[in-house]
Amino acid sequence: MGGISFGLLLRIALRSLVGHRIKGLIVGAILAFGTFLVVLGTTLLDNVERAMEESITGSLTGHLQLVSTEADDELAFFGPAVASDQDLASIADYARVKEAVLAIDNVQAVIPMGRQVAQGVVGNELDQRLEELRAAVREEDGEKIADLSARVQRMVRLLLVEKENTREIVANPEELDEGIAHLRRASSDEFWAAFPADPIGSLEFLDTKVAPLSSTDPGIFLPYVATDLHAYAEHFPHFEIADGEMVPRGRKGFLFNKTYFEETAKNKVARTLDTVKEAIELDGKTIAGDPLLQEKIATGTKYIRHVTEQLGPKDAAHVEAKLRELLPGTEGGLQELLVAFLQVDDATFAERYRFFYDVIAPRIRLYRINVGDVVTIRALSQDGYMRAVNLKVYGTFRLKGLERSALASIYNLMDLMSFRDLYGLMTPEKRREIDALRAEVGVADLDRGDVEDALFGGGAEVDTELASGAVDVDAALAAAGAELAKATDTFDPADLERGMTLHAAVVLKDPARLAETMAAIEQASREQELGVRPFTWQQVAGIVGQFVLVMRVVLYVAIGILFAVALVIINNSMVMATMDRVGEIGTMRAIGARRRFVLALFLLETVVLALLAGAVGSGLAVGLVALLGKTGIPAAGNDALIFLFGGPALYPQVVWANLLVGLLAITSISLVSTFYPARIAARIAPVVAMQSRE
Amino acid sequence: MRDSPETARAARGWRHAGGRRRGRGATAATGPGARDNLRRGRFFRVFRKFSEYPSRFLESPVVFVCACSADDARKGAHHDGRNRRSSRCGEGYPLGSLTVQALRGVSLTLEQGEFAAIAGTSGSGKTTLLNLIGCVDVPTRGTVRIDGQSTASLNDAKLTELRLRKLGFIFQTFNLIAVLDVFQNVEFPLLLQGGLSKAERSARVREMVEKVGLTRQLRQRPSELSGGQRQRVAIARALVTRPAIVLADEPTANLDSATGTAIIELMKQINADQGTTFIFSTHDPKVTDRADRVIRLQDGLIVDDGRGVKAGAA
Repeated sequence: MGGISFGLLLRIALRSLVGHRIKGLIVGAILAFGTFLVVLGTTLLDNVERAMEESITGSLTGHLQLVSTEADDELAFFGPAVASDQDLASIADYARVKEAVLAIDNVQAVIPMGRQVAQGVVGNELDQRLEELRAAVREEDGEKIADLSARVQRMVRLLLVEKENTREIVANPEELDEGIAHLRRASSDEFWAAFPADPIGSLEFLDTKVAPLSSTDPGIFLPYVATDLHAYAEHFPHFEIADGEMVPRGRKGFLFNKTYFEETAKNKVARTLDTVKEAIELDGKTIAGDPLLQEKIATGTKYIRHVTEQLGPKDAAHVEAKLRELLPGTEGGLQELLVAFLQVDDATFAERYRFFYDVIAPRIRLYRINVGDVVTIRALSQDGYMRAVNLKVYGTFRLKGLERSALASIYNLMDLMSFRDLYGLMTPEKRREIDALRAEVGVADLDRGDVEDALFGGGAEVDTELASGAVDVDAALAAAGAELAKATDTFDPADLERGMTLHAAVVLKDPARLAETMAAIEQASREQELGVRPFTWQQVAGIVGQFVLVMRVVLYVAIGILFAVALVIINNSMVMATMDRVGEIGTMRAIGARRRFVLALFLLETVVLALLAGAVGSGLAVGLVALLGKTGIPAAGNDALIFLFGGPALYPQVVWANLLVGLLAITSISLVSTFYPARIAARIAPVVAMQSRE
Repeated sequence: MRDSPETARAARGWRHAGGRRRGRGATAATGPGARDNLRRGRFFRVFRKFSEYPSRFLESPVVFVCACSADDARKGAHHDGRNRRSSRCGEGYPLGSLTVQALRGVSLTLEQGEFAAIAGTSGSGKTTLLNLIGCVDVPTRGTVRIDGQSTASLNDAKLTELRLRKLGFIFQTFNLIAVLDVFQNVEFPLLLQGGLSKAERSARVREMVEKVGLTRQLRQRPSELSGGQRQRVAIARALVTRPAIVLADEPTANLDSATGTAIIELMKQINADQGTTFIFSTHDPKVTDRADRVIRLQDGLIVDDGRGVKAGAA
């Protein structure tokens, strides 16, 4: 017997499989399911990874991020680290870095970036009305004065009710008494009757004694990415201006993320109605069927003050009348009517949504900030001072496909020059100044955190200050800053290149060659002493970048368990099959089949079964993926899913390599599990044939 | 075949075979054949054809069996197949801690073209003798020579090769491969042998199938055939490689008497036509009547070797 004929082996193997159908079907089903899981799981994960990569690289990070080699912390765009102050050092000579990195073959663009969490300062409602009233007095516009007076009086009244209610429940009510006395005076008709006689004095009283009693607007929490806006717009395909316009070249300015803007700047009641509408129209949800939506509506009623506070007496009366028409039989005043109005259900929602935007919205300020406004943006700079810049909001932008993902929408955009002002570089003069302070405090070894403490009397206090957001010093600073901003809101675009940047995005021509390009950048940095280190988009994405990895681990563990089970089952059933076939194998051996023939026969049987089952399993998986590729896997409004899917739905594509991996995995598992029974079979002695009884 | 004594026997045979295999390995490692194996290596052995063995014993009998004691072997009493002075010969196999001697004194020579029956009651050692001749077993003591080749020095691969080239088997229970049809069952040993083209194989198979009268059942599975038909397929399978010896273990035991007679007639006819040596065991007097030579076994001894010598009685 020179060589065993493979054709014969295959034929007998196939016939044995057909002959032992039931066993084959059971084992085959397990194998097919295993392959199905491997192929489907890995394909979906690959697709999610691709989509997520596209989301992250195309909207924020680029393919690589360059960070100073002296950075103490890891750059993280998402996750808990975002809100904290990361020590990334900075890239001092950006121009040189850009030139060196652009020289690398696969690099398409290098875009400077800075990133900080700042605070947008917006005056409170009363402040703004008083400001308008002051302007009306200056212009001697009698009609406007009357209207605004009525509004302010109404606001003061609401404030008085609020304070009196507060007084009932606080532990030290007497502390509120002085304020309540001021409010009583400011809400009285006598005060307003006397107003035209002494508008300046009355305004002075309102400004100094009454306005501070109004709950201070906490400002807007503003995480932003500062960059060369035009380069960013060119190289990040997700970017698109939604409202307003792009910040003109050579101008300082601010762009709100549309989603973020809606979420933070819009009137809360309006926003509640908007989100309910989105959930109903885009995700096909119903209020009755979704407890989360019901909760959202319930929370929305708590923000009624945001509506009532803003309505002037005439508007309030109009809205109240209209509401009474809409909701006959509801007891109480405007407050109660609005509460009843906001108790929407699936039947009434569409009508009330329309009512809100037709009747109420035109009479209130729908947004705290509007496109075209100048906002004061404050942040704690690196040298420990609170700094502020005044920037015009030129418009809002959206990240296409990611509009509904809050995760992808946390960053607003700012020009790099303003960032440099806010971030505050440690210049030699400042260093000397701080050194002098150190000497004064008498501590020799202080790190930056300690310096802050020294300056502000404790880090915690700095935080509180940032949160409360209404410190007179800052207001003064902002006022001074506004003057400065007017003078310096233009810059030479070439200055973007000169000077520092915190980090820089690298956009590649061919993302598949990422590792190679990364190595090239590392090499260039070493050779030319650029002092930068490249990180992949996955590394800088923070916790989100790890998501796919985690999912992969979970999948592989699941597959591992399934394979272990399959291993045992196949092993068991093959041992059983061997026992059943002792006579047959003995006969083959007696007739002249060698051990290796029997061994090969068993292994081949398994391989054939594995390949057939694998083909079925992977075929099903591929079919399902192809189908999902057509219909899409909806993210169902889930924020994290939208982000991972890179849009409202994932359209997976078949990854053929996974098919191969699946087949290979299942075949090897089968082979391993058959090896032992096959060895048993090969050991069956030919003499058994003489003893077998059919 | 579940729970029956046969199952136990099958299992025992299996274990027994394992034990034997190790025993044989020890022999091969010390005998002259072992050095030969080691020198040539496994690779070479795979390609060595049985036909390449020197046939120094062309004139010698096709089968020589002497299951005898080691003492006798040392005395050099059995250097020649013609010498029948053996005594206390043995083939033993372990059964638990007890070694059962199935054959105690057997010395037997068969010539080319014989049509011989081994007769005896159950447990007289018929099957053991056939197993030894069929090279599916080797004696614990003594010598078996097939075509002059001693089986003791052969490893499993060489024994397998020997079975494939020189021997054909017909089993009491037919032992066809259930998943193969008639044609494929008959073709199987030819495929194992290799070396023939598809057309040649087909011609050989058809010729044999025609000889056993199953041309119309060529594409049927064993399960679709009667007992007699199955045994005919087995005969075709045993003969298709044109072996020197065909061994049949109670070929008619599972058949009715008319069919049994027909099967024996068929074997006899092939024996007459082709000169193939047939050795079959039976306890059916009607079958022994048809044999040219009847070897009678009793309690592991040959009481009559059909040549007038009652060796076992010594």
